[in-house]
Amino acid sequence: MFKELDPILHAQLRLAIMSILMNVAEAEFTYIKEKTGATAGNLSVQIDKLKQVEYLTVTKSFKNNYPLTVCKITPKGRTAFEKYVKDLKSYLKV
Amino acid sequence: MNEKEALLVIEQMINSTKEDIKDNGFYYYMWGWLVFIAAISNAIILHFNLLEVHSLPWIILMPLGGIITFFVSKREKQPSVKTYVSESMGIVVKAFSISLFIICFAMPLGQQWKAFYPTIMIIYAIWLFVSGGMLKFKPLQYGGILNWLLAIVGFVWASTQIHLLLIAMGVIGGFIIPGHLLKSKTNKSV
Repeated sequence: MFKELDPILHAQLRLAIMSILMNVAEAEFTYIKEKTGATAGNLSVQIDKLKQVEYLTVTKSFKNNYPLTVCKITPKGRTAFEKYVKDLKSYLKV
Repeated sequence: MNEKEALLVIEQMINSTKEDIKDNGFYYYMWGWLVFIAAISNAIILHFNLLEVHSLPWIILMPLGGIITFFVSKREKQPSVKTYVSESMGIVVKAFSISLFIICFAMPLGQQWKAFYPTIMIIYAIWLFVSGGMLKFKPLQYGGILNWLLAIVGFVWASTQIHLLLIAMGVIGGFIIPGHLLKSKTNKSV
């Protein structure tokens, strides 16, 4: 029987954000925006959802008088991502 | 989004964040030239007994290097992502700087001059070997090996003037040449 895929991760933009954060120590909002090609508004909403389920942390500060948002994956997010990939593999039988 | 599309999203994002650590070599050749000039002028001052404070070139050039490093690093564009390699590199830079700082201040305090320069060469060698590995740039690692070999010579042959010449040779092979090679590599890839 197939395991249900994590609905939080099974959304294109949220999955893209988590894939990026799995690969780097931390990334600024602008970096994630550039890599995903998403709009700032949509990206903010999805980052907020991931933050609510504690899959990532968001640190807000200032750099050269401009607001700076830095995202970092949490151990809970890492575990959820790894489980998602495992479940995905069992779906695709790879 | 179906399962195949999900896999594709993961693959695309992983590929787009693949690490491509670059270094234009500036700090390597800038510090290399400063140390080279300081070592050679110190050796000349010692040989001809020109000044009482024979370490004067170091006193002038090392703080100058610090000032240049400070202003150049302030002008550099900060990256919008911190990769695991760049994070590790930052830790190694800290460990290298602290070790060098301790040697440069604690050893002269205890008048430990005999092994002063070879010890610095050992620290240089560690830095060059590790950073060369992280940047996947062999000339830096060869520079590290050269500094280890020169340090052995220095530990056996305990003469300050010889040590100064050894450190000058060490920075040519370890910092100046690899630094300029990194610079030309960066210029070619732009």
